[in-house]
Amino acid sequence: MSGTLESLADDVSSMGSDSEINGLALRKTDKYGFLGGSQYSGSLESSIPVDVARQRELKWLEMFSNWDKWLSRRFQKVKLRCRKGIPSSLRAKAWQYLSNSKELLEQNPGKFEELERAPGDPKWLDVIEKDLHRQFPFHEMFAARGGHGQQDLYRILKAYTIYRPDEGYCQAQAPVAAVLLMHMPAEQAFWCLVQICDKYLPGYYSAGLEAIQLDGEIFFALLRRASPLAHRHLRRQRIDPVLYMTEWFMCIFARTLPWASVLRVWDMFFCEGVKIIFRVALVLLRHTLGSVEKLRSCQGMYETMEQLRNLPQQCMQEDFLVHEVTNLPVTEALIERENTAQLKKWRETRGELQYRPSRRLHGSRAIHEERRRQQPPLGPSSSLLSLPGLKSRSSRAAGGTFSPPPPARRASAGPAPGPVVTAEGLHPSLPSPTGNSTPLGSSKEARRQEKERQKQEKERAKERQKQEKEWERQEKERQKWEKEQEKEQQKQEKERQKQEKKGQGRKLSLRRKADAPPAPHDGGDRSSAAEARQDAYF
Amino acid sequence: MAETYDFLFKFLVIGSAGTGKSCLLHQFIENKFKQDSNHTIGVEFGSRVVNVGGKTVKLQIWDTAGQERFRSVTRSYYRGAAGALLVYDITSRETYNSLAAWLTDARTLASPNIVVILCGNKKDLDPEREVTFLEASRFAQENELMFLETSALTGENVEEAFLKCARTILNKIDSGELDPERMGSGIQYGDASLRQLRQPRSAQAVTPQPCGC
Repeated sequence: MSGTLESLADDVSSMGSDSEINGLALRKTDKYGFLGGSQYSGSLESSIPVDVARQRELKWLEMFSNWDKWLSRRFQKVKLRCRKGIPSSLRAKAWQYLSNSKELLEQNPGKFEELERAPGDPKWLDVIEKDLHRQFPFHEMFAARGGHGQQDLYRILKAYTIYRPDEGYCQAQAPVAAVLLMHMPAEQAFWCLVQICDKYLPGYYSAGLEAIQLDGEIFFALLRRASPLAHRHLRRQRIDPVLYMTEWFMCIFARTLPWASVLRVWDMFFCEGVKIIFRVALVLLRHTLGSVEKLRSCQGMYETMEQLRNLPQQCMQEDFLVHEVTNLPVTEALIERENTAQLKKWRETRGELQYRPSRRLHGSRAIHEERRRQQPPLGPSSSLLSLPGLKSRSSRAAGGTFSPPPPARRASAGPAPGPVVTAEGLHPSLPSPTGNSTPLGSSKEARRQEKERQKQEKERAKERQKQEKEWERQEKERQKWEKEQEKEQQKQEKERQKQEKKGQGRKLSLRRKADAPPAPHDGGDRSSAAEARQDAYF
Repeated sequence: MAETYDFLFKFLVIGSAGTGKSCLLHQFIENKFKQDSNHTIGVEFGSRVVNVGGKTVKLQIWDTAGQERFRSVTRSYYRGAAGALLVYDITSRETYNSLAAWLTDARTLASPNIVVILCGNKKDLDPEREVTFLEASRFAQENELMFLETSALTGENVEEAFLKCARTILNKIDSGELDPERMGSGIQYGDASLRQLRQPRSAQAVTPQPCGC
């Protein structure tokens, strides 16, 4: 019940009793701990009624007590609850359950301290130190130089460079780590960061940043479906995706959205994975550049970029954004398909990838499934912990020594051969899980579960095929419509030029144009029709 | 939208992480030091219209992330830059040592003719200096760069750095060394009036309202 109390206290703006801010001491923080800056939430926030909040907390507590069951059998419900927003009092715990960093922490007791004690590479430490005071300077936790927030940030980021020496430190990890620290102690935040970097967004922070560039291309391809107008505009302006999406994707919008929205996006992200990032970005673009009306104010590249740096408030507002994101049918399968296509293109134009990250896992279910494949059900899962040598091996396996699995596997296509090498690292005595995924032992229960799983996967594959067909059909329709629209626009453009010529020299030309019957009406209708069309399309 | 100018120059601010690139830009645009700043991930930008030698020039300045691993991403906005501020931190030899790599990037990715000014930033931290003025000016000379020591904190030489770079570009346009009409020059004409001054070159350009010149 303390959770409930906490959440109530949470909802009242506090003075930040233990805040360490010099000079700003009298300033009130908002309910998230911000003292100012662009992400400061005024009193505009809508808050959930206490009884609803309390109900949700109870539901989440129930889920925690039967977590594995909920994930494997009632995932849809978990997903729905994440989409509704995780109660703030339980958010930290939920993120750790969803990302499974909780288990990682339990499997590696003392590991974090060990990493902390290691000297670390000065090359990374220098850069990290330079960044410490540059993370959310308006948040009470990070406002003070050398304060607790900054110290913890240093501890986590440094630990990561020792944990993954091949990866080192990327500047975009700092804001991500900082968001985690706002919710949980350093050690927990560290393992959560590890899961984000290893499972959710592998390769995002690695040297060369190829994964982010590839996702930029995937995003652009998806944009073509989600908002043909925005897509065409950006293509004509020759604005590469990396020019605007780098910070969004790498920081999971932590520096972009109002704070309430950041938390809602992270709630969904931990549950559903990178798909959420794509969707949020698509929604933002649709509402920034998605209509003729909106494009009018960004004629040039610079104006467009400016617009993308100053996104309309309305589309970032938490309820609106979550609603839009939920309704955008960009599926894991679609992302993976685009991934394959873009990877092929990359290879053709730029050659082989320099860095092959491990397979990206789409959210908690995929992480959970991978874990189950690695730990065949032997009874209570914790019994595995007592296997001799597991601890050291598992940390080694996670330490980046495994060779990369084939890239660009379509994550959910068919019963995946699975986390090939990691699994081998964990259970060297097992028959290779490649090819078939027969679980350890021949217990009936295990076989039954395995069958069940295969059945489910088959069903899902079917479902996916159906969906893809639907996509293709829609894609064709869309192309047709796009062509029509282009024609229409050309016609309109001609019309406009004609009008302009006529109106040249006349002061009133602009207003007259707006009054002239065909063009403007047409334009207005067209843009709204376009939007309606897009909505219907999705 | 309504602002008028004769030219538009695209500028870059490049250099290693933590040298104060974003603060230089902020000081130039807002005339004050940015106390609580985030580090740049990807790209930031700003613009300001300045008066240089009787011409109004709009500077469109792209500020880049400094960490090495972002280079692959930042490359995509080097394209078509006319000028660059190449920034190092006078209190950090490491940032000075990587200047050559940054310069190569600028000349190969933006344009070989890009006008670069070297900025030794954090001039206000003189007691902690690791790179002498003399050493850096020698480097500048060898690489045909202009050179200034700046302080984004006090504002010293910040405006000068941008203006000096812009002035050099204007001179090069006047002397014919730079052709604004070449694709990717990073220079654009601001409005029709200037185009008309250079009418002979752009005879085919449609100028709907001849104003009798």
